[in-house]
Amino acid sequence: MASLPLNFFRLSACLLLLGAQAAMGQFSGEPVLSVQTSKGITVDIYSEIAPLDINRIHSWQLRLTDAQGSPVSNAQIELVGGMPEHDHGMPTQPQITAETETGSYLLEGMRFHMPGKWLLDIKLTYAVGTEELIVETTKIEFEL
Amino acid sequence: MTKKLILPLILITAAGIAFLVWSYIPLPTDNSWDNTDIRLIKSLSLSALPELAKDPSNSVGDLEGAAEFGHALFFDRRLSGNGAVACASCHKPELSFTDGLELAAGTAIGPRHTPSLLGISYSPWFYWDGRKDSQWSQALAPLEAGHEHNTDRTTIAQLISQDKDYRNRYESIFGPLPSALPNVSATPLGKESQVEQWNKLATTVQVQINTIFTNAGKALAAYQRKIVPGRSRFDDFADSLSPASSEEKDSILSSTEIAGLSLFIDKGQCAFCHNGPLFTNHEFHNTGVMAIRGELPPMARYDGVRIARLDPFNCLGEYSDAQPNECTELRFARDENELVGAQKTPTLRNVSETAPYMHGGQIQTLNEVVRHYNDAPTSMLSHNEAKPLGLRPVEIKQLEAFLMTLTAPLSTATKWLNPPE
Repeated sequence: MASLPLNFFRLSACLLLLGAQAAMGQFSGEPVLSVQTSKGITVDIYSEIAPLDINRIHSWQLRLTDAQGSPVSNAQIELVGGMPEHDHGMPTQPQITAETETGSYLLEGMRFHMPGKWLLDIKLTYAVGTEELIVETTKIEFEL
Repeated sequence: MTKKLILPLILITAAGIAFLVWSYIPLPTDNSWDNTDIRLIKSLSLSALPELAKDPSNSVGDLEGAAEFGHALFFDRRLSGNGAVACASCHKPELSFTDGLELAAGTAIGPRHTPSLLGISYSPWFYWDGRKDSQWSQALAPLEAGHEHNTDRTTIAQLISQDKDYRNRYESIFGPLPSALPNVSATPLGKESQVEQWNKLATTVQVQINTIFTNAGKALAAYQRKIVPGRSRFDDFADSLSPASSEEKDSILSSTEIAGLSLFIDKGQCAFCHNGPLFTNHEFHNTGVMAIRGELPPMARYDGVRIARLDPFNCLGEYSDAQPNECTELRFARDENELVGAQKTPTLRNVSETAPYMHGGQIQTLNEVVRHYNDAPTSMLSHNEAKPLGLRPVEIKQLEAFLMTLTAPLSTATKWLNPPE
């Protein structure tokens, strides 16, 4: 009986490890989309679902690196998507819910509901090197 | 004088003949789909339908015993104020779980058309305006709606507790029922007298009643998860497609139906919203459908998403079995102005059996539905997302012919389609 709590903790640690592995595996492989901003920030997008598909809610991970290849942390990211040919937006309002590692941001609530051309506007607010805040918006277009 | 008339007469006749040819003579069928077309057509086949994902908010959703309990509840007319209305009264299995009426008729005529239930468990949202975010939570609302079942949660909890068979089924799935329940008609959503009775109950009793009520909803959802479409001629056709298989496909669908499919994925623009193996994106669109006679055009999804967020029986509520981080659809649902007047895209599976059409049953036939999209009229509220299609009359017929190929007997086992023995 005395060993029960110890087993319990071992089990918990095991589950935590599995959970962490699953979280890391979620966004492995190649980025599904990638874009460079006019000020040289690279945004690599990894998706839980690759290749991208319609009608499935899922998360993305956005990895931001500067021109020297260093991760950009403490950035604010807003993403708005839509289909210009249909004059409407996404069915969801995705949001960044955590910076899971330095320069890696979890974006939850992604879902596309129609095949065709999609356009995403990504607004970045960040500071590189200096205290000065930089705000810039970059666009990514892709076909589903 | 007569000579002067000959030329105009010839021209008018020629123009008339040209118009008739344009309207009614089909163009030669183009069977040469490219790989993108073939990929799109195959994505519509039931062979591409994934296994139904678990509903994290309903821990008994895939329990056979819960489905059997829900099956009994679905056909039970005692779940109504007048003892005459069951879920199956409007969701008739023989009509692909619709009722053939413009507006649903429960204990009174309701404000909306009864939607089909085929494959609806795949949808993250329920009701034409998406006011519910789970199938179990949806199942609760009609029971207490004055025009549908017109009963109340306390009476339902009493019924489950007093009927020996229900009591056994319930307790084997959800654990023991309370030893006593108040013998009153009480709900927070009913008539003034029912609300008064509800407010007199102790909070612990209210929670007991809500728990039994929501568990009944979870059993009803477990049953409805069994309702799935069967393979149609279209699915056989789609599966047979490969760049080199034009002979096979001709034998499965007629040239008119194939022409209709080409229009469906291209000029008709249908597959933008009616996509995937269930022919729906489960989303909300304003397509300029006229308001229901005598009513103002509804705000639809714009209001629906707000109602869902406030619902005590939503995914984030205390009666849900989900962890908050599993409620992604509710947490990240969009609520902007473009959702004004947007109604849910229905499935097109077995669409020939589910007339009339639209959220108020405003359109009687499939031909008229296609003509509605061809015209794309200005929306009475907000804007119509659809644009005029410029389909010729013969093309409207071809699209209609294709839609008829989506009907097939359900793949649901027969026992679920009849009242339990």
